[in-house]
Amino acid sequence: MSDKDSSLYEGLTTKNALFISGLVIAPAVTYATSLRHGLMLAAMFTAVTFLSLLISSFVPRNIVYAVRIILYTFIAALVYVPVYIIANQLFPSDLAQMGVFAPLLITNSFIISKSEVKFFREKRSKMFTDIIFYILGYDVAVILYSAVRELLSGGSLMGSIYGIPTVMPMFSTTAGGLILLGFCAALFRAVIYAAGRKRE
Amino acid sequence: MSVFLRLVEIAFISMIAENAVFTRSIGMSTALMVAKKRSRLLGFGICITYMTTITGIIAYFLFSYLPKGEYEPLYMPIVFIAVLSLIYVITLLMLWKFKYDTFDGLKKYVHISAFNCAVFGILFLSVDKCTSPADFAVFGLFSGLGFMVAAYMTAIVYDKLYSDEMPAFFRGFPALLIYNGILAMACYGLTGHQLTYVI
Repeated sequence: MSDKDSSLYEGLTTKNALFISGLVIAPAVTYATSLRHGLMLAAMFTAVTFLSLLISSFVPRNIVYAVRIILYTFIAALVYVPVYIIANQLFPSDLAQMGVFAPLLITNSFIISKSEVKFFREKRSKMFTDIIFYILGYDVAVILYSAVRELLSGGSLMGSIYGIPTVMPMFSTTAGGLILLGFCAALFRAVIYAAGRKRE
Repeated sequence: MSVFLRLVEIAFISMIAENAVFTRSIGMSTALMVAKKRSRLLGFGICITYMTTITGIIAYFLFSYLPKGEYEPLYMPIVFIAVLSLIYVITLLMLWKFKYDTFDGLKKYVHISAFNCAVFGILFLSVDKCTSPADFAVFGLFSGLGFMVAAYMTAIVYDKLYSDEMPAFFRGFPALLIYNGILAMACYGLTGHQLTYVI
C-alpha cells in the first residue's frame, strides 16, 4: 500500500477522528443536529484546521514546545478571522447557531495535539496527505452522523420531511447526540472489522 | 443576599445543572483522556480549575476595556488565546522557579490544561453568563470543578467499559459515549431540556 493509500485508509477508517479516536466531539454532538449543520461544521472545521496546520507546519521544530503551542493557537485564531468573515457572508444564520462551537475549532485536537504527536513529525509530503485524509475522515463521519441524526430526530433530511412514522426528538439534544455517536462508533467498528475480514 | 444567591445559582448551574461536559460536550475528549488514569485525575482537575478561574477573572477586566459590537466575534478568540498564553507562560515559569525538582512531572499537566476546548469553551460561556468579577471567578471555579466531576464519573466506570465483559464493538470509546449520554440526560432533567444561555 502506498503512503497515499495508507493515509486515505487510516484517515477514513481505522483512525477516523470522530468514530474511532473521539476527537472534536463537542461541535459534532451539540451543533451537528441536522445535515445542514453537519455540512456547515465540516466546512468550518476543514477551513480552520487545514489552513492552521499548513501555516503552523512552517514553525521551526527547534523552538521550545511551550512557545510552539502558543504559536499554533495564535495562527489558528488568526486563520479563524477570514474564515468567520466568509462564513458570515455566506451562511449568517447557520454561523450564528454554531455559537461558541465556531471559535472552539481554534483549539481542536488536530491543531493542539495531533499536530505535534503525528503530523509535524512526518515528511512534508506524507504530512499533507495525512492532514487532508484525516480531515476528510472527520468530515465524512460528521456528515453521515448529522444526516442519521436529522432522520431519527425529525424524520427529515436537509429540511425535507420524509414521513418517517416514529421520530425521536431526544436525538437532537446533547445527551441523545452522545448516545447516537456511541452507537455510530460501534457500528463503524463492526463495519471496519467485517471489511478487514473480507479483505483477508 | 441577592448577590450571594446569584453566586450560588451560578455555582450550581456551572457545576451540575449545566455542566459544560454533559450539556455541551465541551471538554469531553479531554475528560475521556484524563479518566484513563485515576492517579492523574486530581492533578488535571486542579490545573483546569486553576486555568478556568484565573483566565475568567482576567477576561472580565480585559472585556471592560474592549469595544463591543460587530467585531467582537473576530477579536474575542485572539484575546482569549493571549490571556491563556500569558497564564500558561507565567504558570510554567513559576513552577520552574519554585518547583524545579518536580518541574518535568508537573509541566505536562500545564501543557494539556492550558490549551484545550474545556478551558477555552468555559471562557466563552462565562462571557455570556457573567457580569461581575465575582461571577467570572465563581463560574470559572465551579465549571472547572464540574469538569472534575465529569472526569471522575467517567473514571469510575472506565476499566469496566474497557473490560472483556463488554461486547467487542461497544468496548471502550462507544460505551463511554453512551454512558456519558445517559449522565447528560440527568442534567437535561434538571434544566427541563432548555439551556439557560448560549449553546
